[in-house]
Amino acid sequence: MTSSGGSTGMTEPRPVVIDAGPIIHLDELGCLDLLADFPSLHTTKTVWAEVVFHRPSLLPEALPTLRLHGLGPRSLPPDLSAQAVAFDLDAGELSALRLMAELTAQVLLCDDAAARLVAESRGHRVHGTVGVIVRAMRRGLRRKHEVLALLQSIPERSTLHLKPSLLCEVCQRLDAEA
Amino acid sequence: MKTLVIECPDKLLESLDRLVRDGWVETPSQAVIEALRRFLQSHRTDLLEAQVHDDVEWGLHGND
Repeated sequence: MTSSGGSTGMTEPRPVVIDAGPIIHLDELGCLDLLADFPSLHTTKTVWAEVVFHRPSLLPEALPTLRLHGLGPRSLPPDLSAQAVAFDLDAGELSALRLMAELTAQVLLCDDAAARLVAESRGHRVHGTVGVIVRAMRRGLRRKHEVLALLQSIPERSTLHLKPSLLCEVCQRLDAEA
Repeated sequence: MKTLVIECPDKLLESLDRLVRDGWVETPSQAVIEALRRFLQSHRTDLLEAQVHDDVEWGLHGND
């Protein structure tokens, strides 16, 4: 993990906030390195505690671009508080949404359907583990057959729930890509 | 109406009991059904599928 540095005169990369799900699932799949392609990756200490609960052997050093944030006791905006209750968001998801606001981040990496809905309703773009894996092909981090192998291993190697027919559809779409 | 038998973590049960004690819901069953209804609303299969398709589209053709 990194700490913030001074100004370099270069354009700062746009911050991306990550929830526990993608960290856990990518670690389960052995491809946590894909997150290093997000140069300004942020999460909260609450989210990290959730990650460590599920992946106790995961060390922060595995995520060199990740910055951890402790959020102060400031109260939640009323609209977010209401959404958190209505959508039954957990503490990690809620803290990630708070961090989005504090960093004025646009992109959240998250696998929880309800948290995704809330984030999108607040104007954020949200992507999940599947997107990060597929993106690896576009970004030249993995070849197509490697991405397909990763996707096909999701049911056996990870706790990410995907309907088998949907996974098959995704793989077919990728296979058809040049 | 069918009966559902579940094992519930202690902490969740404590929170549930508190809701009932404080009068927010009349019975634990009522709270569980409401929670289940909300979960199912936000985890509709069409929604989950749309989210995965969005992921794939971004993965393949995003501009980041």
